[in-house]
Amino acid sequence: MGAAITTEGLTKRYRGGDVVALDSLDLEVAQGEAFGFIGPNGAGKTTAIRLLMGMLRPTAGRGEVLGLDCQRDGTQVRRRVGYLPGDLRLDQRLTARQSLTWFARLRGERNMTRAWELAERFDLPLDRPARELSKGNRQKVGLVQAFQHRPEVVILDEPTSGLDPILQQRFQELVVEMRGEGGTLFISSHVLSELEQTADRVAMLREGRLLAVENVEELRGAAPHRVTIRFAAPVPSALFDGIEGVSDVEIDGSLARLLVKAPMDAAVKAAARHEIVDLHSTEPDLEELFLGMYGDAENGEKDDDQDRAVTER
Amino acid sequence: MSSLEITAHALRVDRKSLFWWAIGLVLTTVLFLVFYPSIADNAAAYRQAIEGLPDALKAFAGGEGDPVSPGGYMQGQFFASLGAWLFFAFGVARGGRAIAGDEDDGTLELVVAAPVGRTRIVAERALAMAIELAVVSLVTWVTLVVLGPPFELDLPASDYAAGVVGLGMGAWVFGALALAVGAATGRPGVAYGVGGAAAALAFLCTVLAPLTDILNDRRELSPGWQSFGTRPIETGFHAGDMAILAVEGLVFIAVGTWLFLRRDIH
Repeated sequence: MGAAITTEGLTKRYRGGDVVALDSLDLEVAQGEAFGFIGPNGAGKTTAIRLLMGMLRPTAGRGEVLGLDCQRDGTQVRRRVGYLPGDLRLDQRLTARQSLTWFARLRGERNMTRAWELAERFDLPLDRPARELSKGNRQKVGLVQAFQHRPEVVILDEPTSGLDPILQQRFQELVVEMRGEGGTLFISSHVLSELEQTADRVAMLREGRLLAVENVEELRGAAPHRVTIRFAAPVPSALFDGIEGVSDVEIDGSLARLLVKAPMDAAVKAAARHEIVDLHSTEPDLEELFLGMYGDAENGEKDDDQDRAVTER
Repeated sequence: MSSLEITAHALRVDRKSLFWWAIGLVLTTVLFLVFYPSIADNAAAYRQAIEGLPDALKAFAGGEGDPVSPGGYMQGQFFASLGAWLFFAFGVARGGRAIAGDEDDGTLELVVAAPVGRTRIVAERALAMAIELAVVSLVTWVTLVVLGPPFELDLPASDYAAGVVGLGMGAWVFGALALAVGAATGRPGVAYGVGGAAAALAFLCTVLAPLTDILNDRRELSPGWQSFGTRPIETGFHAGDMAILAVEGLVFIAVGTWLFLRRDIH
């Protein structure tokens, strides 16, 4: 399948070039992919998204969505895209129902079946004016409007902010459903953990520059798990010596703490020679790992070519 | 998008405020009507009082016409006075609100995220403003035609129409200017400021034009001249002047759109 989103050298500078909001972004998101866009506030995520949506004019470079130029064919792009702004503002005078009807009409859509179905799923109070809605409820309006026209691509800027765990679950279901239909998701977040379950690949952005694009599954596979084992009796401190994939071993009597890279077989078999009371393995913190791998680039030690090499992998 | 959804939506959400503007204009109009009989009864004294005023103040009281005739009174007290201010203020308020106001409160974001071109957004908002001006003009005209005669102001309905259309078209020019500045800058304060300042300047230049040749020789340059300076309430409908005002507004909107298309939306 072709690319859903492509950017080539997409750049946005402000104030005559003094402020670089986005510095030559090269990305390619495949159709049907869930792509995460990670970075702290001010990293350029919203700038990139609003360039794709045609709200901002690029200083240089270009962006394409579904093969259409974001600037020249912006209207056609937006017809096929659902968008959730990072800072969603609703007309205070309108109820959720009126706002959703208005957004549908802007798309020439009069059939609201899908919108009301989504609203029900998110348990959105439709007939209260926006000024009386909580942050979470307003965010629901934003999510419903982004999905209500069954877009081929959704671009969501911090979609889960303000949502409680149950609604985050509902959101995950929506993501799964959309992927089942072959849709593409482009989701930004300031923390990786929010996207670990959702995204196939994640891009890390810092100060307007792309640090890296990583496959979440590979990242997880490459990362050591933190394993804690409690034995029935004290074990020799050399228990894990020479065993492949094991590092940072700490043995304190009958308690062992260690880092183990997959596959864990050898380590588990070594441990199993003694009686085990309890074994606990924690998923690696990808955020930490990611930062450990690329944190240095913040200081500009990495040059553009290296960035691109990682991106194109 | 098939029909004029943006225009329809703007009219729908603005209808309450439009209602109150219309009420305000009706009350203001009535206020000027009810004073007329007492002034007509004391015509000589009133005329004399105005004759005694310095030229500048005389200009504000209606200028060259007879300030006590029905037409002269309406011109001096309403069409070249508070009526013009209210109409122009309404236009500037609506125009400045249209793009810049929505952008400022963030609600423009999901409009520009829809498959709608920016040119269309400006055009539909300008149309909504024009419709609101037409409504306000119609309400004012009906008030004058219905309530004028009981207060001895029984001017022809067509002259009242000429006067009101003049104000409505003036409001169109300054509303279009505010809309254009708002579209070009995204800043409602700037839009209201520029639109309001232009309206005030045009008003003063037109009212004070008879006092000095510098202004009087160039009076046609002020939209105020075409709007109310030609005394449409006494001289009737000036089609050419109305066309000038219509085109001026369209030019502002075209330039505003051109700039809107080239800038970032915040």
